[in-house]
Amino acid sequence: MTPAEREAIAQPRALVVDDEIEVRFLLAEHFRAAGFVVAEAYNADEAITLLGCSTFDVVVTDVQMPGSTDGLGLARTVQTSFPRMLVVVVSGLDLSCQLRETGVAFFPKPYSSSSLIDHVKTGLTSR
Amino acid sequence: MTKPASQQPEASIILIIDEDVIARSAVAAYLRQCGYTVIEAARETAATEMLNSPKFDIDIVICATNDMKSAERFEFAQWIREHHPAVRVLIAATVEKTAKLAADICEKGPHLRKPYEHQNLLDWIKRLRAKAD
Repeated sequence: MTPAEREAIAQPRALVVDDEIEVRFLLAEHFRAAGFVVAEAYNADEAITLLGCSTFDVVVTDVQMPGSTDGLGLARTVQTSFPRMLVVVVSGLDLSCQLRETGVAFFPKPYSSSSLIDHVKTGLTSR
Repeated sequence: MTKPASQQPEASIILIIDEDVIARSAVAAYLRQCGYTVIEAARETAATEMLNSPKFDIDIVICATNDMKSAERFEFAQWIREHHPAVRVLIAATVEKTAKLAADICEKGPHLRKPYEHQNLLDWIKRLRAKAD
């Protein structure tokens, strides 16, 4: 089966963005176990590159990361360029007030991967 | 992450180091389709962190980064061999070589077959790059 054929299969696609390799890998593996096709990015710049060449249903991003913009900048870019894409921000900082009414979901660290994935699944079903 | 007993004992966890996110992602996806668990690192600092972590039992490191000079790549490979002698280190200086390595690994992997030819992987990377530009 070629990459194109695989892409055609209707599996939800997630992009997980975190500069902490272990955190990113573990969350990505949870999404894979839940049936998602997952791509991983080290920071917002890498995420923007992947968003330019692949299709995703959801972006889950950390906030504080090296690069030209942070996770909040990435969330804004996604909302502007891909308004149908779900965005979830995870952070050790309390951003609940800042993100209220933006349409971006916020999960403070430490969060439960299962709750986050359940939230994403619900969001994708109700789209 | 220790390997489940049901999996093939050989080479089930691969760490790929590549600063080129498009190539890294595509090769990682290919290796996952072969049944491997793949950890992606953009830089060798993150790779070192994973190699030193007792939680992850890494079998193969693919060092595909062009960011490092060949001497640095050799030095990093030497460091892995000294500190993690059970880990197989594969160095690929070009995306073509990385794709070929991935295809060879797939033939020995849990599914014992390639999901598709490595030339298709290269063509896919080319198409993704063209879209991203």
